[in-house]
Amino acid sequence: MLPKTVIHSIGNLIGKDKITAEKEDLVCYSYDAMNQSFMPDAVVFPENTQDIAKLLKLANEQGIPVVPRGAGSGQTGGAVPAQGGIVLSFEDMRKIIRINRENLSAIVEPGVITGELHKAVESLGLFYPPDPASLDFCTIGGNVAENAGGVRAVKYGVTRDYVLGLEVVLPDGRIINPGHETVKDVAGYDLTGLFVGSEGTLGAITRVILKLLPKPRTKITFLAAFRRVVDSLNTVTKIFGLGILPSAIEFIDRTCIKLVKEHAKISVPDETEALLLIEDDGSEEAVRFSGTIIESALKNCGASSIEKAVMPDRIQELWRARRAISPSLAKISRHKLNEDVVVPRNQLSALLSATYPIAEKHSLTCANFGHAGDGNIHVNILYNDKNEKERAMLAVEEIMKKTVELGGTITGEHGIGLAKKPFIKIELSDAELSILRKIKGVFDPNNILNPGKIFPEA
Amino acid sequence: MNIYKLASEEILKCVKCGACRNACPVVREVNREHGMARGKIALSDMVLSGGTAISDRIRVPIEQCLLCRSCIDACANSVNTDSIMIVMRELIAREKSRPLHIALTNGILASRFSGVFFKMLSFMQPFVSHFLPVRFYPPIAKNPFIENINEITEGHLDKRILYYAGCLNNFIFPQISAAAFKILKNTGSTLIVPKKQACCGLPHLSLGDIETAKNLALKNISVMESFRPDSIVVSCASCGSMLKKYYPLIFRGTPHEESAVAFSRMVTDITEIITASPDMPLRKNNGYKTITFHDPCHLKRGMGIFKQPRNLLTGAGYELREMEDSDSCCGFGGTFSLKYPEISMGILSRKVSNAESTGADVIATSCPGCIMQIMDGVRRSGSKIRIKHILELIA
Repeated sequence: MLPKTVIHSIGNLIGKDKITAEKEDLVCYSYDAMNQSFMPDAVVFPENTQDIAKLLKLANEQGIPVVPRGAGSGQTGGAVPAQGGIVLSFEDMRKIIRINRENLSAIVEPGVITGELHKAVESLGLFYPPDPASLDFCTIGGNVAENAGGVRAVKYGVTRDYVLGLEVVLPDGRIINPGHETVKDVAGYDLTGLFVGSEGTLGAITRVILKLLPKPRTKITFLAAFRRVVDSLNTVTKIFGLGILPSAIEFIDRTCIKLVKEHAKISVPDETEALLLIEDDGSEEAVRFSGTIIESALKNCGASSIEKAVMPDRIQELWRARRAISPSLAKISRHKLNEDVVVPRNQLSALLSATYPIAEKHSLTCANFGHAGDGNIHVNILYNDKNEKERAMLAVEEIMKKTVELGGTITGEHGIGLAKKPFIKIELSDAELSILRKIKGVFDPNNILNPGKIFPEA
Repeated sequence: MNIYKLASEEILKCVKCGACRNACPVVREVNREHGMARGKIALSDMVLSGGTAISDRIRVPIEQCLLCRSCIDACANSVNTDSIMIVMRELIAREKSRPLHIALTNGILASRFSGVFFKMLSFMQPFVSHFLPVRFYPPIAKNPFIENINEITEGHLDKRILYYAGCLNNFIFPQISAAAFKILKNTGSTLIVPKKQACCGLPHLSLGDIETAKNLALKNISVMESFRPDSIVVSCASCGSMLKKYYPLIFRGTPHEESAVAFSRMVTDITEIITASPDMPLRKNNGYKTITFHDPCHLKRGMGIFKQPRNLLTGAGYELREMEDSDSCCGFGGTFSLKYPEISMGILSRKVSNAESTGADVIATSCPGCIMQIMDGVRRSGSKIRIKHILELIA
């Protein structure tokens, strides 16, 4: 509990209507998409960087935890106040400040919704590629803090590849501006990059400079069904081998196909074990060329049905259905451990074939889908009760060990947060972890920013 | 499973992903977590499973829902937020007495003397409106539709169509009902317009008065079934979705469930009937050139109809220009528009400006509630665009 006097003095600093400590409001800011609730002591809605600086300075002096929150759409509990304190909501900082067409860049406040930025830049013939499944409601600030990926990462990379510069408030109230509206910058260490994926633990990101691209003129989308998982994965490496880098290659396993069918009309043979949703974009000529090669690769690798989608409505329907998979897993089981492991693309087959037996060994179901094109698969271990959860944690641990053994990482785009904290040592050595802790100490010596995340208790 | 158990089950189905934010017209205005379904569900959970007393900080967000069902469309798990809101509103109604004007309106609508009241109101309205400058509403008609029409008009076909006018298309827009009557007569079926049809009960249900809604539903079901119709046709999307979607819902897990479901199967929107009779003579383009269609929430998400009206309009020779977010709510929501006029009008101005940007001459729609709301918005924006019920264009 924060003393009333503290709430009062924060109100004096940033405006009385910009802070609430009412129980009902606290409940509404106690969760994110990980679906676990931790009650904050207060929620603030600052409108500008200066107010955030004042707030952090006070919190730092008094040792009050502060947890930045975009849309609360993260999967690993990054936006929940695990140790109470203040939730810093960016809902009132949602302006697109400038889109610079001549320089292919944009400056935005962190509360801008990713999908709205997409629309705004696309209306000017520009393109911001990162497209996490939650793009219709997640925010740029959250994307930067988690280094969000998305389906277009195969060809275009992740959020990190588009962040040119930031404005960040440090816990002591200092405001820094790493990076510029330039595509190159090697003055000193990559401070900008350090904040990308920092999960709200190093500073509060208050402004983002983004790189844009010209909008690809057209796209082509394929939905292909396979009788064997291994054939679908061979297709992925085959396409790369033929010198084609599609903008998206998504894998959907048998369990997830059922969920997709609820959101899009798809007709595939009954014995289908895997779907690939492949898309490429570019000029008409380039897309025609890559389309031909992708189609022949699908045929050669044994696809049992191939749909070529060209109508925008249909393409949109297919992607909507793909994005609905993760939340609709709740139709199969009450809870899930939603992982985002990544392996080198040629090790995907080895990883996937390991997941099902591991789940089975623990008498659990496993549902796999995700970004086959960049080796990033959402392995979901489904469970219903406490007892099953313990077994699910064991299964996840085994899957993560296998991932690291195959040369991969335990998280490609969701971050560590709370969810993966128990597993971080599987991947990071003591030396690496100690460097991370020291970095954290440089920025946030009093550990007020998003405490309880990333680092396992010593 | 009755509606109360259903609400608790629906709460459990929410995985807190946040996808409802993008869909909800209210959260766009209030810009806080409690504006969207995820927050409203968290608050409902506090009350329904946590036993928290309903404070104003719970009541207001629960009231600030248009029941437009946009969030349900956006939700991968189709969490029925509307059922949760209705049950929560019943709890609110039990704990707090309703504001007088709303209690009165609902009392009148539910009463069998509603006709008399509306007649009286039609004389009083010019004086009353003077004191209600916040919102503009069209006048109450001097001659309601139902009293001036025969209860049964024989046709040459062995098919019986029952026309359910609903309050607004009877008392405020009788010309819409007249247009519906004209079209339905052309089908050659025997046409029934029951004199004893009661309010559908949606205004009561949306305020959580589930009991009155049930009573009205039972009355309507028994009145209409006594005429043994083959189909029940509406020209008001709100009434339509009440009859078709919510009657079965409110009687879930009760002895009336089966008959409510059987009844709901007969209910259909008039655009569907017209589409199913391709030979029906429709009035061709009458001077307006371009139309943009606003999908009422209760038509698209309530009854699953959105292609039919468009096909009818283009079939009648109009050029259709789609507006952005044609299926987003207009912000009416019945008493919502009175109780939260600022939010309602914020949503409305977005709708009107989307419609205007198409450059169309007319906004067509098929719900008198939307018509009232958009009429007000058009008036405020000073726009020249007109708002019409689709039947006024094709009948």
